[in-house]
Amino acid sequence: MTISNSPPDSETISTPLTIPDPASLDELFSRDPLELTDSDVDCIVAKLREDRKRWAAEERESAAAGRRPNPRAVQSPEEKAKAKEAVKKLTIADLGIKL
Amino acid sequence: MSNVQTAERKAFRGNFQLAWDSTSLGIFKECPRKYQLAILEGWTGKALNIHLTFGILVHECLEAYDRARAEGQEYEDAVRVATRRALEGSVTTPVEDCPKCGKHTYEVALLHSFDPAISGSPEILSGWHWYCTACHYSSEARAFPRPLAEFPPIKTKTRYNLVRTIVWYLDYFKDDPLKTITLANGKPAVELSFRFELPLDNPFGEPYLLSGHLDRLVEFGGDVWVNDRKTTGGTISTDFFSHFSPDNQMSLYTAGSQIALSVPAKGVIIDGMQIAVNFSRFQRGFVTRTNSQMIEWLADTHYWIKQAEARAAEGRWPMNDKSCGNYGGCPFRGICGKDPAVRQTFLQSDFHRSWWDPLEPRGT
Repeated sequence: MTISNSPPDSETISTPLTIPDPASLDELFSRDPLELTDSDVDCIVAKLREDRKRWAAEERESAAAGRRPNPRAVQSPEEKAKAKEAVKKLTIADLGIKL
Repeated sequence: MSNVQTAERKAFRGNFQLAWDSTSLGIFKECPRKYQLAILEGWTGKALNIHLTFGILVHECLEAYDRARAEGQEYEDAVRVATRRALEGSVTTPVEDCPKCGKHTYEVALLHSFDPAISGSPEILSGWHWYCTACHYSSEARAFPRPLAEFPPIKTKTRYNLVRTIVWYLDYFKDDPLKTITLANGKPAVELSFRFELPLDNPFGEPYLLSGHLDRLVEFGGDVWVNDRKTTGGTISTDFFSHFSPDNQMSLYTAGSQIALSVPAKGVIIDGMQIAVNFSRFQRGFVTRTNSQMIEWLADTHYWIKQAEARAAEGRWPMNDKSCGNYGGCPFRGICGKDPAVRQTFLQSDFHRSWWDPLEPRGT
């Protein structure tokens, strides 16, 4: 019988920062927080960090493409008022329509 | 004099408020009638104020982080502490009437090791408990209560977004140039209560007091600053920070740090936190006051306090009906819009009592 002294395959090592699948994140959130281990909380933190990386990348892409700010962003009353005024000034030509 | 029902509180004597903070001063400036109802009579809406609750929880989580770091915990450990606080704090139930004292102050809370000197109970309570904040009566909760996300749907102020905001904020300011100051007693300068006397006497011959509560004191660029965190649903732009000059609360923080605390602050650094449906975004701004501005604000504060004193002496607090639509609409608009003969009935049906006391100590 051969006993290997080499470390286990790194892919099989579970770390606190392993990203859980979305279903288990929901499960973590639905649990009594008193029952969450440090590892569970670290999983939640790691997933939120991935979300932030994704969002930051989307923001950079939008800025690079010169697109409008994220429409999911909640507008302030001042921004809403400015947008309303801008719409009033739109012409047929602005909409790309030739008569 | 009008028969205003008040409660025994340190900052009040009958109708007269002797110690003021930015909340009570701000409400009086908005509308004396709102002040009478909200501050003197303690009427508060029965429905959960999700925006207020969310903001309070953000502050509690960041306080937990600041304290953990001041105790020497590493960054990731402190993030975990704050994240746990967010998960634990965002679990509650609607407040109910206490089965023992009958006051509308009975709610589920997570009690870790509740000090018997405060709770009055001989046992150290832990775990989920129903708990009355008035008489300290408690009973064990049957099960894990409902998370905050299930409450009246506000798409942005959810439990998930609370936890996300905490983690994203701490990561965004991970290498924060603002350093929390350590007080002479060795504790971190977080959640600091302050008070100081004004050169203005109340009707009982004592000086009026101004009081407040700072998020934290920090050192930045060789100077001391107050650091305050603000949550908002709107985009944070230059407009956002311009709203803080002039501003009651920021002027009081500056005055408090300069007069009441041993290390006068240069001003307030505000961390704005935009809470959107799918992201949280942060921006930092600086709010300062010149000496002349502070002198002017203090003189104006004397004026407003004297106005409140005159209203209390008369027993009459007129409505400012130009303020009814501000800040999303006054919660008492529905009351003030009715005939005076029926207002009390509607107050008792739609509101409950929650007494604001500027002299109630908090934190450090």
